[in-house]
Amino acid sequence: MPLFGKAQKTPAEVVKALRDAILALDKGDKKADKASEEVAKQLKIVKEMLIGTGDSEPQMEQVVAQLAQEMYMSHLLLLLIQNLSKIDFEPKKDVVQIFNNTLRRQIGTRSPTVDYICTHREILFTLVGGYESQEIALPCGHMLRECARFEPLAKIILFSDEFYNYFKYVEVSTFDIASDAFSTFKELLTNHKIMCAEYLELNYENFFRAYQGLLDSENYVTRRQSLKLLGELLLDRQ
Amino acid sequence: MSLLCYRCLPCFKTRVSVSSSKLDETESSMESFVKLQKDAGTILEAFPLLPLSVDRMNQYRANVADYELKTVIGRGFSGATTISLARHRPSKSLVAVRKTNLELSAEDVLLVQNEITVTRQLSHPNLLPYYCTIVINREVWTIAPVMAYGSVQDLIHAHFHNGLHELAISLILRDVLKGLDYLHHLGYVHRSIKASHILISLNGKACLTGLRSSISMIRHGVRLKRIHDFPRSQIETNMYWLSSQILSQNLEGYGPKSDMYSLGITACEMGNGCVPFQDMAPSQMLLEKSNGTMPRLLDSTTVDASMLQDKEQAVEADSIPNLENDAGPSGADKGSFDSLSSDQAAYKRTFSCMFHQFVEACLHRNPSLRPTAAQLFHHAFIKQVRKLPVGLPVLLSPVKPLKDADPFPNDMSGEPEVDAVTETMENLEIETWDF
Repeated sequence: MPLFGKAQKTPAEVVKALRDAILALDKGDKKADKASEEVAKQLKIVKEMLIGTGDSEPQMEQVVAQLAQEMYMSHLLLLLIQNLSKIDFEPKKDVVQIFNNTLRRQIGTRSPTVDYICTHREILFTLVGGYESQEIALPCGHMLRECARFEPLAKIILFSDEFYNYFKYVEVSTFDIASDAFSTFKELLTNHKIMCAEYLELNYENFFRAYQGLLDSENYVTRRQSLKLLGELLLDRQ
Repeated sequence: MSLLCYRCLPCFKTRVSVSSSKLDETESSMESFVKLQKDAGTILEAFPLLPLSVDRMNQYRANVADYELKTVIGRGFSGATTISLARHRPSKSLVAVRKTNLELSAEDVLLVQNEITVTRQLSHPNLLPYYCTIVINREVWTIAPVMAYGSVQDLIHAHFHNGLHELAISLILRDVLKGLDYLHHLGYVHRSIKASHILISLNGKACLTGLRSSISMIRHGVRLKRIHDFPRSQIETNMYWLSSQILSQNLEGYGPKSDMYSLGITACEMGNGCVPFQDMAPSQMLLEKSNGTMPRLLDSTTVDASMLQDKEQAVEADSIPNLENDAGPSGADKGSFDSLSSDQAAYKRTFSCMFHQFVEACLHRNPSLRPTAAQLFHHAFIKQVRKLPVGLPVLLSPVKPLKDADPFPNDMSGEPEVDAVTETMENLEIETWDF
């Protein structure tokens, strides 16, 4: 027991508090202001347990493991992403950090979060859909690029129908979102070379029919970026 | 193994013809831009030129025809960026349009992208926001609020050749520290704090900008203790402000405290009217910095009367060969005259002991002993302006803020007719390419 201040909450309590706060926010009744404040507060607690602040260290490995376990059990990650647009501006960035930190957890050679997301694919597709909405496009893009580092997750996105939505997202009129979508698109296509080559082999017709649209784009940035990516795809020898 | 077989080359060839983008088509597909969140209140307070309701904030759309370009008010990024004053047609308000020509190297385009994505994810009254970004032909346009006094470097060039008033510096640094604390809290290191990246609004609020070289200390969800990335972009101009931890590129790396060093150099820049070490060769500057030479504010306590005399003699000695050289009133001659007068000006003034301490604390050789932005906010030098009856605009007179765009003629280069002509020219050139 610490001598000063409140006793620290257990991971289970923290996750439950955050979950309740998000459900209250989701309901969207009169107390929406209060609910979003509560979400922000709980997100901050979780973030500090995982990442620490500039001054304090993150929690012990054991606590983090429990926290992650609770998150899987309560499907907190999906809940956070589904309600991302309702969460305030600053706490949105906390969600990104919590997600990215949980994703990189490793037990030996196993990545439990990656395994979890593989069985809950809707998390990935909700993230891809995030590009539809301007206020969550950049946070979703950030999380997706972290996912793209893991081959099983990149594979799920690449081989899905939703992947073709990228051809639309990289051409939106606002530069920041379009270029963010393009970086994600590029990482999906270049991070895991053997898997990507397999994908391109199998989906040659469809992919390049869509890709021609990018090379023909009205937008100089899209044209230039897609030309460069094509060059990389063509010339990469491994 | 190649990722793709070469059979796509034929289709690739036929696709390279560059189509022209028509203005009206760009318009139709535009979407409204992201709402400025609940912080809109504080942001509005910081930028009086903004329309007053959040609903009206949404009107800064990615629509070229909405912006009537007036005159160029600044340049940056080695000339690739021009900043123009513009009138936002629907609301008649003034905005600044930063046009960056994207025909840069791929690395530089990434930097521009980094700057815009980072800026769009920040919201603080002391950080310059970007309302929206549009791609037009070969340029990316960033719509930002007008900062009526321009950058602090502009102020130094315009009037305060020998440095700003101490209270003005204190007011500016107070705002910069708030913005910097927010940035550091989110895990960013700015890496190019300097007077030209501090902008002053009409009512005297200072805003930090220039996030192009910024970097996040959070990688893959983990907060790094130190980073080792070297900011290559525009290093020739930026290095005078950078700490020796960044410049020496060793294993120890650096962190947010590097920004505190740059802030100290910026404080000297604002106080003295010139950047410390600037007359040195880069290698000598690096040596001085790593030896722990601490730049100082020049005033009666640091500039000695005898030094002044020595300099005077040195100048006389210098000027003799200059006259013989037939170079006439050359740059060197004029330069030494300027430095003489600035020394004299420095000798006549006395900065407060607090200001000297503030600069010393920022420039401490050991980064772990430099205070954080939050700690410096409570420094006596910053506290002294808490109850100051006058605002920054009074301290900045006689410099006049930019209030009205009417005296300026419209900048024709943004007009559709001119663009159409330019485009046909571009197309002509491209059609002659033969693959």
